[in-house]
Amino acid sequence: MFCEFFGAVMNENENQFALGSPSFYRRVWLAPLCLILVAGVHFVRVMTLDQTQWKGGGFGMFSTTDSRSARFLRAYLITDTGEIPVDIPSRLQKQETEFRAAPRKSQLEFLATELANLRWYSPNMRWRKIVAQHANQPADAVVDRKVLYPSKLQSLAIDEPLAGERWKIEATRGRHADRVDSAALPITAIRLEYWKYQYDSGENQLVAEKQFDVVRNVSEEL
Amino acid sequence: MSAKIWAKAIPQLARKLGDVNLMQVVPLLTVILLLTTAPNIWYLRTPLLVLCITGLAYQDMLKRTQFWYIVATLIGATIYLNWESSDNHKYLLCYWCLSLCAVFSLPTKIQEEAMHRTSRLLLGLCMAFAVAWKAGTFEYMNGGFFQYTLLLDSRFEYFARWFGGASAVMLADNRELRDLLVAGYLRDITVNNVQLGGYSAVAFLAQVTTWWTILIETAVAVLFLLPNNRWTAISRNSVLILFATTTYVFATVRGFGWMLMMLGLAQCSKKESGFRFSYIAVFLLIQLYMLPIQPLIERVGKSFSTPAPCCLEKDAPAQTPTATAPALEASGVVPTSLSVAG
Repeated sequence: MFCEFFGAVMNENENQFALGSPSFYRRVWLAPLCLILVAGVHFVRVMTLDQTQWKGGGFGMFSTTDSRSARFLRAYLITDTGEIPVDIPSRLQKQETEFRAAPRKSQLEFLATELANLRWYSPNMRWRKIVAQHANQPADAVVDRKVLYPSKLQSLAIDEPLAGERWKIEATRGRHADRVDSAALPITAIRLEYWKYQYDSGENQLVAEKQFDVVRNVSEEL
Repeated sequence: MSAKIWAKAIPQLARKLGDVNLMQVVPLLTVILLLTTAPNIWYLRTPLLVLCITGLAYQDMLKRTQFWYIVATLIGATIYLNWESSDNHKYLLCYWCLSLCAVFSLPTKIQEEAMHRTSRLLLGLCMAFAVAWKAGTFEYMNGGFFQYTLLLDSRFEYFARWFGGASAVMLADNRELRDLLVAGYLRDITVNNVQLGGYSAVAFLAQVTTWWTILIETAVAVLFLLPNNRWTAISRNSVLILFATTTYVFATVRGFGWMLMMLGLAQCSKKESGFRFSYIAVFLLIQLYMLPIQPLIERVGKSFSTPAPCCLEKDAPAQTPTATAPALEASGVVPTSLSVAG
């Protein structure tokens, strides 16, 4: 079928492929028609799904400030004592980028669920616990792997940053989750907010506005 | 004497380069472009690289329909799986590989004519869509888009500084303010509105750039979609070369620039050997633009204009945005730069 379509059997009837014949024009127009088709789909998606003009093959780049970088997420871990802002982990970067290119609430819900399934912990707190547990040991004592898993019961305050510093909170999952169990944060829910900024050319200002948000409770098992 | 030799040699070289066999050169250039812009996904990158290297080693393969069919499928799959991050020139490259697939399925004597026509259509259509989006977007037409781009896009920094007179420190501050808006919440700073600086410096330049871009892109689109004759051939080639030489010196998007130059070369007939040479030259020029020539020009300019070296030493850190931020961070005046996903 492939050979027939592209005329690999052209030698059988060369006239069929003469200059100006339908077969000739079919081949000339094949790629341009694909371009028109994809650009049409892109146009529909921009109009209906709020997809950015920059991505999707419609050649709308350099025409609007509403690019992916003008759409962003703010994620918060909700604990009994307050909210902790966190970055989206790199493992979810593709899903996040996809969301920013064409945002849908269902996709934000998916991202929030993924974030809720991660184990969030404070690396500093983990090491403070390791050090606290090891403090009374003599220097020549043999240390085994147990030292890396300090007691969960030992309670230490969450390492809050100084004003202006970034929160040092990381996420992990799977087999690494046990490793950080002692320093896992007591999270009750995750809130994920979708924001978009617009450029006000008259005032020369960037104005950000929240579009929608999603809250996901963290399951008890975690 | 030597000037006479050069005056004779350059046109001869241009004619020789212009007389190249397009059906050999264009597929070869396409493979080079594919090698430099191969996708990052290993399961698509590896077969594509193997295919391209094999194509370079056995150049007869580059005239096979099947070769271009597989290449187009691989690039198409890459775009489909990563549409959210695929740039528009990747789509154009995919269409081009599909075109080569279709062209090489024709009898040899009409392959070149088919290549001329299909590349002309691709070029005209991509520019027509680009113009349509610009014309249909209010913030583009009122100059707002370029105002924003000149104030915040680091790729246009030298353009805004040299032609608009915007200060490097102000542009760096604008970018940091934008980062604060997007990622400031990670430091417990919730900012929803930031005032940018440098409006007066770039306002006029933004208007000029807006209208220049729309005019030249419209000219390219119309001239490439008009029926082929001697007048349209000369004008479309001249306009496309002017577009590439002026645009890509500041907008360093090598992939798109190369793609346009390759399509430009592919649609040149045998009579247009001068333009063929020009397209190859601009193809190389775009690569040259990728070198850090702008800081170099600025440094050379400064060394001529600043008389006392002590003053240059004192001024330099304040005028270089990349030097300013780390210097402030190191001194503890501002916190470590906020990072924003692109």
